[in-house]
Amino acid sequence: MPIHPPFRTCAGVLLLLVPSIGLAQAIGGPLTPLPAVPALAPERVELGRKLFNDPRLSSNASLACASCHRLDQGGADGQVRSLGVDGKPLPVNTPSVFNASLNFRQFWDGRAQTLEEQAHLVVQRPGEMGSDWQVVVQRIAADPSYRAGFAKAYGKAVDEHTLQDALATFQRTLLTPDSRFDRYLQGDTEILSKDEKYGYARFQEYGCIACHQGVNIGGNMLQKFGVLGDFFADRGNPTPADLGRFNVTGDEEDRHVFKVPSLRNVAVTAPYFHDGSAPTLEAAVDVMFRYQLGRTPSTDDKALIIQFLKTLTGEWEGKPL
Amino acid sequence: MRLTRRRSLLLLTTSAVLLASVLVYLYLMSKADESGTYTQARDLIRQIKQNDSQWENEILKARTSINYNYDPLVWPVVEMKRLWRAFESIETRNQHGNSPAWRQAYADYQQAFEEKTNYVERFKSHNAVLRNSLAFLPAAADGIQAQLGQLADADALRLHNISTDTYDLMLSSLEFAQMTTDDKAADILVGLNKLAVNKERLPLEFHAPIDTLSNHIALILREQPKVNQLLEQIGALPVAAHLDAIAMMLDRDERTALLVNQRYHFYLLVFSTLLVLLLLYMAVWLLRSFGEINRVNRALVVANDELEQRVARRTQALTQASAALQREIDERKLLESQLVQSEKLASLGQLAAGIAHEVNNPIGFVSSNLGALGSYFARLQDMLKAYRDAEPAIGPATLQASLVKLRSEMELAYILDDIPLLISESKDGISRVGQIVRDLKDFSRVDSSQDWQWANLHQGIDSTLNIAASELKYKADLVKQYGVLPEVECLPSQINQVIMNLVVNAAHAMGTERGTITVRTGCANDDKVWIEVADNGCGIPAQSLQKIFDPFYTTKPVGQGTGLGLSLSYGIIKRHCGEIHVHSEVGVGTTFRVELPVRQAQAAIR
Repeated sequence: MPIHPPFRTCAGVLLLLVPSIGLAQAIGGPLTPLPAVPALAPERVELGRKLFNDPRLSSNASLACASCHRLDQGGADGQVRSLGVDGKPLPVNTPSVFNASLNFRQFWDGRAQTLEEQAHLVVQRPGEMGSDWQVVVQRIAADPSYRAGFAKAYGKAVDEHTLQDALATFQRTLLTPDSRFDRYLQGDTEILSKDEKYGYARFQEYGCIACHQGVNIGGNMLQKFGVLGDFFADRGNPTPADLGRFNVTGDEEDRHVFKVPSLRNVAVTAPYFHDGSAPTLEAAVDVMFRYQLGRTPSTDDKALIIQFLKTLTGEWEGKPL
Repeated sequence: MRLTRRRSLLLLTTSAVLLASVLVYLYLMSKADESGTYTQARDLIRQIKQNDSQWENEILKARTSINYNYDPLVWPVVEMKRLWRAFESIETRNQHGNSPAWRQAYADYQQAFEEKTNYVERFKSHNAVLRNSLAFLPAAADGIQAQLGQLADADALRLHNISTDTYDLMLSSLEFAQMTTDDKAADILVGLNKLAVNKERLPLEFHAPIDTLSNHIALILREQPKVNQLLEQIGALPVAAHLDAIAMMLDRDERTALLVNQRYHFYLLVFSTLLVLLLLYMAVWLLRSFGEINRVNRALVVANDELEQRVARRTQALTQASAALQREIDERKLLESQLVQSEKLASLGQLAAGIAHEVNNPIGFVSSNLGALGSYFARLQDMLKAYRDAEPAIGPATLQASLVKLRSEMELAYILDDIPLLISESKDGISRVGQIVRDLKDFSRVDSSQDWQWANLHQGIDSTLNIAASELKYKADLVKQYGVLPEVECLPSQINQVIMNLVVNAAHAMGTERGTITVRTGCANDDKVWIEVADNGCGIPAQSLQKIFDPFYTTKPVGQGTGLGLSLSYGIIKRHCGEIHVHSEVGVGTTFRVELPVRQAQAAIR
C-alpha cells in the first residue's frame, strides 16, 4: 500500500503524541529497527565467544559452533546443508546466528524456546555435534583458563548451565545494527533510493509483510510452507525434515509448518529455505510469491522488492556483513 | 557429689535449651509470615494477569488491522513466563506448592497458558494469511474488472453478469470475514463455481487472475472459520480465572497464616510473661544466694586474716626465741672461752705473783747489800788513797817500785773510778727488777683477782704498759695523755687485760714504719670515765669493723691470734656495764674507746 498523504498527516499527529514509536510506525509500518546491543557481563560474553569457537563442544572435536555459523559469512556457511560431525549433511540449512536472539523460537521448526535450549540440543544431537554434555563439561573444566574464567564470571565451577548461559550470552550480542533500512526507520529518509523505497512499498502491498514483520522482519511466527500451493509436491524428494513442526508436535495441522525466518541480512545468507533449495534471492522471492502469496508479481516489482531486501544488510563490529 | 552436680548441670542445660527452643519456635511461628513474600507473589500474579489481558488486547488488534506487527503477541508470552518463574521461585520458598490444591492450581494455570500459547501461535499463522488475502481481495477483483472493461468485442450483457458475479463473490467473501455463517459459506461456494464457469467463457489471459482470486477466496473460506474458532478457543481458556484462583488462594492462605500468627503471637506473649516471671524469681533467688555467699566469704576472709596474723605472731615469737637461743649459745661460748682465758690468766697471775714474791726477797737483800757495798767501798777508797799517799815514805825503793808497778798494772785508778759506777748501776738494775716485780704483782693482783675493788686505773694502765713495753718499743712511741680520774669500782686485772689487748692490737696494726700509740683517759661525767687507745696504723676496713668483737674473728696469720682478744675485752666491758666503741679509718688509724661507770650497780654484779 503506498503511503498516502492523509496517512502521513495522521502519522504527523501521532508523531507529536508518541515521538519515537510514532515515527517508526509511520515510516516502517510493522517493521522496527534493531535495539542496541545489550550490555551483558563482559566476562561471560568473552567466555561465550571462546566456547563458540571451541571445537571441543563436538564429539570428535572437529566442529565448533563457528564452523557452520561463520560470523564472516553472514552468520551461516553458505552451504545448502552444512556437514555434521560425521561428515554427512544435516537435515536442514544452517540459519544465521546473527539476530537469532530476537527470534521468538530457535530452529526451523521452532523446537527450542531459548538460545540456551538451542545450544543444549545442537551439542547433543547425533550427526550435528554429536556430543554429550557430561563430556563437554569435563573437557572444558579440564582447561585451566576456562576454569579460571568461569570462576570469575559465574563464581562457580563449569557446568552444563553455565556453559549454555555463556554461549547464549555471547549470541545475544550478535546483533547487526545500522542497516540502511534501519537508519531509514530511524529517520534518515534520504538513505534509501527511490527504488528501494518503492521496493519496500511493494513488499507491503504484496503481503510479504504479513509474515515478515516486527523487529526481526520475521522470526516471530510459524507459517505453513505452501499456503497457496504444494511446494513439496512440486519440489519432489520429500524428506522427514520437510514435515517441519509436525516433527515436534505430531499435530496434523503442523505439517510443513516452519518458523518464518528473519529477513535481516537476507542478501548475504543464501541459499534460502529450510532445505536450502533457493540459491538466489530471485529464486527465493519467486517461491514465496508462488506458494505463500499465490500471486504473480511484475518483473519490475520483483526487482524492486529484491532491491529493498538488500537494504536489510546490517553491520557487525563496524563492518557491513 | 560430683555425679549429682553433673546431673543437675545436665538437667539445667536441658531445660534451658528446651525453653529456648519453645521460645524460638513460637517466635518463628508468630513471625508475620514474610508478608513481603505475600505481596510480592500477589503482585507477580497481578502482573501476569495484566500481561494476559494485554495479550488478548493485541489479539483483538491483530484480528482487525492490516500489516500487523506480531512482536507484541510474542512479548507477553516471554514476560508471563518470566513472571511465572519468579512467582514459582517465591512460592517454592513458601512451601505452598506442597498441598494438592496448590499443585492443581499451578497445573491448571500452566496448562491453560500452554494451550493459549499454542492457540495464539496458530492464530498468528492463520490470521496473517487471512488478513493478507482479505486485503488483497479488492485489488484482485478490481484487476479482473479492469481487464473485463478492456474486452471491447464481447457480449456486453454477459460481461456485465461476469462482472456482477465477481463483485458479488468479493462482497460475499468480505461479508464472510465479518459474519462467518454457513449461508455465507454456501454463497461463496456458489460464487466460486460461477467464477469457474465464467473463467471457461473468458479468454486465456483471464485464467491466471481468476485463479488467483479464487485461490484467495478459497483461502478466506478456509482460514476465516479457523481463525474464528481459534479466537473462541482462546477466549474460552480460563487463564485469567486460574490466576484469580491462585490470587484467592494466596489471600486465603495469607489470612489463615495471619490467624495462626496471631494465635502464636498470643502464645508467645504468654510464654514470654512466664519466662520473665521465672527469670525474676531466679534473679531474686540468685541475689539471695549471692548475699549468703558473700557473708560466708567475708567470714572466711576474716578467719583467714586472723589465722595469718596468728601464724605471723608465732613465727615472730619463734624467730625471736631462736635468736635469743643463738645469742645465749654465743654468750655461753664466749663465757666459756672467757672462763678458760681467765683461768689461764689467773694461774699465770698466781704464778707471776708467786715468782714476784719469791724474787722480792733476794731483791731486798741484794739492794740493801749493794747500799752497804757502796758505803764500804767509799771508805775503802779513802783507805786506798791514804795508802798511796803513804807510799813515798816506804823505805825500800824496790818495794816502792813494785807497788807503783803493781798499781799501774792493775789500773787501780780506773778501777777505783769504775767501781762506784758499777755499784750504782747495779743499784739501778735491782731497783728496776723490783719495779717489774711490783708491776707483775699489780697486774695480776693474785690476791684479790675476782673481787670488785676500787682501783686507780692509771696505776693499772701503767703496769700493763710496762709489761707490754717489750712488745711496743720496737714498733711505736707511746704517748700518755692522762686526765684526772677518780678511783673506779672494777675488776682491775680484767681491765688491765683489756688495756693489754688494745695496746698489743695497736702495736700489731703498725706497718713497717714506726708509729705512735696514744693512751688517753678522762672523766665523761661524775660517774663515768673513759679510756682511749689510738694508733695511726693501717686501720680496719668497714666490712671487718662489724665483726671485730665476734669470737674467733681474727685477721692475723693462723697461730698468731686466737680471735678472742677483742671478744674477751667486749665481754669484760659488758660485765662492767660499760661500753666499748671503735672508730677506724683505713690508712689513718683506729681508736678504741672504753667507757666505764665509776660505780657498779651492786645488784647487777652480785
